[in-house]
Amino acid sequence: MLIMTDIVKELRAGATISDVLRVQQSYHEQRRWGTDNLFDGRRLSRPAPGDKAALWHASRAELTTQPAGIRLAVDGVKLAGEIRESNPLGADVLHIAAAWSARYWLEEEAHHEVAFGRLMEMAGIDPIDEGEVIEHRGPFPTDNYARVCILQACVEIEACVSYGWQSRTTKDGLVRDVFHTVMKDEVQHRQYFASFAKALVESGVYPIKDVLSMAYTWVRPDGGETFGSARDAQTEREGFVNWWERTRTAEEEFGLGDEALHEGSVHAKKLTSVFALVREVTGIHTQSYEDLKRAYFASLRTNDVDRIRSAVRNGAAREAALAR
Amino acid sequence: MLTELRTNIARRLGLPQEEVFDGRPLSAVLVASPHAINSIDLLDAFAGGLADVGVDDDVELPTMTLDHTAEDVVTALGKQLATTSS
Repeated sequence: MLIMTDIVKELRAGATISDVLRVQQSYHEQRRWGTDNLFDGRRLSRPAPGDKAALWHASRAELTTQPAGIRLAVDGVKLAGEIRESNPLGADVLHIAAAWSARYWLEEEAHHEVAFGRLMEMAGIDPIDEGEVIEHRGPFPTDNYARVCILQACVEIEACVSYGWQSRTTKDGLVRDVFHTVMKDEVQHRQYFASFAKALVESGVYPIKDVLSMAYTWVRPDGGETFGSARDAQTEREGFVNWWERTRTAEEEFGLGDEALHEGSVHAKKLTSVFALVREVTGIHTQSYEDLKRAYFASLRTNDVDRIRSAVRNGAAREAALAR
Repeated sequence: MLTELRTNIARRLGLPQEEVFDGRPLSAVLVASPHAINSIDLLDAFAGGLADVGVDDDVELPTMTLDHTAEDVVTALGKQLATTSS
């Protein structure tokens, strides 16, 4: 077994927290790689402006996974304690999610931070100064745990798609290998976050709406999180950094072009990946922003998955009829 | 309809309507609400209000930051509804 995608089913079948953590440990050990081995005497051959821009962003984005992991580790155990008597199954799920965040996610993300930081400096970009590092370590506020899992899954999707695009388009072998190696980790992380969110809904800790609200917030065309710094209106953050709100666009130094952010295949892939995430976590099939919006609004009236599915289907049918 | 919308938004935030719509910024509404903790809870309240009134297919929630007021959001929704019903 690689990743337990149905944690509640396993727990109900008799698995313990320790059983699940051993599966996590095993998969972590199978997938480990080292930055020293990856770099091993290699040099950058032709870092293009696009490579440098991608490294400038990735090395900063990865700094924020440390406070994100600490939030999930600490808040998970705390909430598990609060619901232990009322919902022991949900408490077990939270312990599992918290342990994975504390052990494997944080450890694996450290590789990403170091790999991108080293490569960025090899490309001739100044190291990130201490003040900026400390700023990116600012603690994230406590939030609804299911929403945070979906947020992190969406962030992993952003990373997967962006790193995948960079590894495919670069002409430098080392840039390609580093982005591709990290991307493979991020794919797994997205899967873990999806499994935790699904388990939190199935165990009754959170309603479906908390999954859908975050997915909707991520992709909505007018002001969605995926548009990051390109949004007209920005909320000022106090004490923490959402890296996607710091994205530099083409006219700035180390800026990313629209094709790497919000246009074409990259943007389309991000959207379809979020729809797939929603399906995995809730069992509700959405294929467009309009479907997701209908699902979200329906979930504010009911937590019945069949009624939410029906609202999505009926809405799509009405739209098709109007278009005829 | 907007009156009903305000009533439902306030109910979902767990606050009296006059407190939500007294011109304070949404950041202050968050502080006052007994269960809303961040902008996603505000989104739930506004979206839920639209769903309660049954006009969620007719409008898009406007982009809002915590500097806006609840009335700003309802006004923007009202403009959209006026357009769709005309």
